[in-house]
Amino acid sequence: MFKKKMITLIAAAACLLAVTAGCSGKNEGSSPSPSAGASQPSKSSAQPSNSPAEGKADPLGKYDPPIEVTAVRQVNSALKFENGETIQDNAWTQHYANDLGIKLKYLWVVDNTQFEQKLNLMLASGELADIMPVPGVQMRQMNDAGQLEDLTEALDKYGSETTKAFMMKDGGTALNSATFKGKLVGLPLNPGSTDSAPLLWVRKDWLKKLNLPEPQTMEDVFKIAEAFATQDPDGNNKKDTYGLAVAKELYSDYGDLTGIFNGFHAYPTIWVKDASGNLVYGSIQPEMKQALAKLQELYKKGVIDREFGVKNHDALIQDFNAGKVGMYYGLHYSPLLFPDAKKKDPNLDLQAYRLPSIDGQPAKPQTKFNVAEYYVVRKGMTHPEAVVKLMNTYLEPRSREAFPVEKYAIKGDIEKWQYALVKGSNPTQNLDVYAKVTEAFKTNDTSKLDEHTPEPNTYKIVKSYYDGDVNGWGYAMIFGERGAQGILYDYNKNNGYQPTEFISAPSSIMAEKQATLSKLELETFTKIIMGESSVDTFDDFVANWKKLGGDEVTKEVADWKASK
Amino acid sequence: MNIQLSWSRRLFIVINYAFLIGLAATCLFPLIHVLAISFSSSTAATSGMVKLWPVDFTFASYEFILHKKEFIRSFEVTLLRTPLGFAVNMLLTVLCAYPLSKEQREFRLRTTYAWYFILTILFSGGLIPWYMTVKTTGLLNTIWALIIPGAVPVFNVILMLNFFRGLPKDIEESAFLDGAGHWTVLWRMYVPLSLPVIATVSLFTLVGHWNAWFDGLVLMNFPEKYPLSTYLQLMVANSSSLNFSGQSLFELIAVSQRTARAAQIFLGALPILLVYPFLQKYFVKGIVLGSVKS
Repeated sequence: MFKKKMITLIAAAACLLAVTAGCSGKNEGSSPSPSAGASQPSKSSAQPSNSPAEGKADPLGKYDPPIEVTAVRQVNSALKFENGETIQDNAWTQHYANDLGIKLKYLWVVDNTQFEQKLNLMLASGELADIMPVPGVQMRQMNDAGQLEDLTEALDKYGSETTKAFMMKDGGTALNSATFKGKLVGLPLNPGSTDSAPLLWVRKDWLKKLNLPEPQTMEDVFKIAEAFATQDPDGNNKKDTYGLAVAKELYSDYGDLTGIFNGFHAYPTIWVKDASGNLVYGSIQPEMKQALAKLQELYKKGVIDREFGVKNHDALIQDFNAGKVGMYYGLHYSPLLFPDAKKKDPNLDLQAYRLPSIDGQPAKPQTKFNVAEYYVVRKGMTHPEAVVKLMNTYLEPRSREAFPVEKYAIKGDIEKWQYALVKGSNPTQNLDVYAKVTEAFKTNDTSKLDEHTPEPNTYKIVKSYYDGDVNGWGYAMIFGERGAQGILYDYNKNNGYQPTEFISAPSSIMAEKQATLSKLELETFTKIIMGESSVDTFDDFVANWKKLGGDEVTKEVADWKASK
Repeated sequence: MNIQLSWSRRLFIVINYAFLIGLAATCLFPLIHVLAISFSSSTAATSGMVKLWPVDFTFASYEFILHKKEFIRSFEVTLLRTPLGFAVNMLLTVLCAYPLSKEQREFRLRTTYAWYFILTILFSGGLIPWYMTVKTTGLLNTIWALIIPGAVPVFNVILMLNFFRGLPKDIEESAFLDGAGHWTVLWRMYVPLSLPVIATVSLFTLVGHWNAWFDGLVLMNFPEKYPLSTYLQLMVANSSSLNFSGQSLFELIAVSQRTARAAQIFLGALPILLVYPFLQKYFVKGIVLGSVKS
């Protein structure tokens, strides 16, 4: 049972994410080259010597004779293989070699949790690979050290229609974040920001049991939380339930506080515009103080778990499975964290809600800039356009006959799409999938689902849940009729988000100070909520934050803005 | 032999036993808990119902692991690494400790050499020089990268050296008088007489090699070559990663692999646990008592 469930879920999750191009590409009509406007950089000495004649650049052209390209990469340790395939030799590497003439050779491969360490070691030892997927901080460092090749022309000339369309789907913000002084140095992998918005999740079966209304305002939230904590919603005559689940991380995908802060119009951890238009750090704004005061009150009343300061996200998941949690703030995919809960308690009825607001103003869920990875090319590589070709071939919509799903995308719980070195992503994929799946349910017509996207599979899983298969529960919570993506879709349509205004890879000062400042923030807020410090310590925190490097970071952000 | 114990003495014994049993229990409980989880169903484990006894007893997670290629492969790496590393370590430890245990008049540069070794305990070059050294010597990505850089465990050398110094000089001198050389003295007298310290050092070395994960992670280029501890470390560390990127939704599912993880931890720890009882009998003191009559 355990295995079967795992397989279904993994398959489901992977299919959803398996990027298989060809979405209804409604880019803003024009698809300008990303370098348009910027002065064309002078050709570096390392331009491809044997590049085809001008205008004949083929986005999927084969190198003849084949070239060897070195790379490094991260791999999740849970990734599976079959038939003797390995990360170094599989359907994708063979496809690269046979159809593109690119022989891929990995210098090293490491688990994703350790990737940065290994990458830093490589940077220190000075022997870089040709193509490297790196986080933003390292991209900036490498660029500052002059180690990266300019990709402006490569993308312009070799980028396929699809690749360019996807790059512009977010208005080009991700590309901008990889452009320094008019030079594009990395191809961003942008999963989109809408999925990072927090939502309110409530157990509707508990609401019904205690005769409570659905949450519309913040007052409702407080009332529900108190009732959940004190009126024994699970009916076991024990006071073992929490009003509001909070993980000790405070900002998390489940057991989160960002959503409640957003209800107070406070936006922790992101950069927002103040009244005079300057960029300021959200966590030190006065609105935070009110929210913290309220949280302290809730904690005092016993609505928040007494032990939340030591309960991490994982422990809190156990509590949800055990039926102790009735309300929490969390991301759209949070139901996938508790695949066992619905099986254990068939009455469980979880529901996502828009963020309630403390006053008449609607609350805006905050979103972050979500590009975790850029594909960069070592300075001096003879074929910098190879990276663009690799992305083209990943995104190219192809017939299922020539490129069978079982060989390139997914087979059972074996996620073959992950084998590809360079991936692409549609920043609004989940919203698109939601729209199409909902439409299909409404019209009972599945013919409009695009087979190059996760749409058909998502439809299938959600439908299986409606037909009684409990394994599809998590997916139905996200993409189903009352699903979380529906709310995100609405927010997106009505411009309801509060995105971070600092759209860039973190600067070096920021990367250096971040750990200290975040720790200070987390500790202060935890102490305030637990009543160990008075709410007024928030003012000291603001002063400390500025002193410990916050001012420098703020200045850097201002400089960044001025340079845009 | 009916000795009347005083009340205070009895009280002491009771409290002493209670304290020691409590101490032992705190060491045992986590292990039993992991064992119970590994035999429980996933639903029970993820809702935190399992304490010290399995709930919904099942072998499913063990079945799952024994079919898992990665686990078996890293087990093999560890099975190669541990004996190999053990042999190299022990040989070099004994060979270093013997000359250093001599007096200054027998071995003039003794102090210089001793400091040469001790310096490496006090100062280390740091991660990057370490990595670069291994890389430039061409050891990177081979099994030897896990063995050569730590071939001389200086701490163990000091332990053994001190034990050697505690052996009565007279035994050694009588052997020399009978015509034995240093090799004979070392292998025929010192080593057999030093079983307690050798057992201790063996245990340190075995456990050290079995548990070392960081070197495997940094010095091996592909996951196929990771030793077991590195593999386990990643399994466990991975599950609590909160890094959200749209590409890795599926990682979340790993959280419900709690039972499989527990089973792997247990299987990983089992062999080295079994070593302890076998070494126990060597932890006997006073082996050389009475060997010298004066």
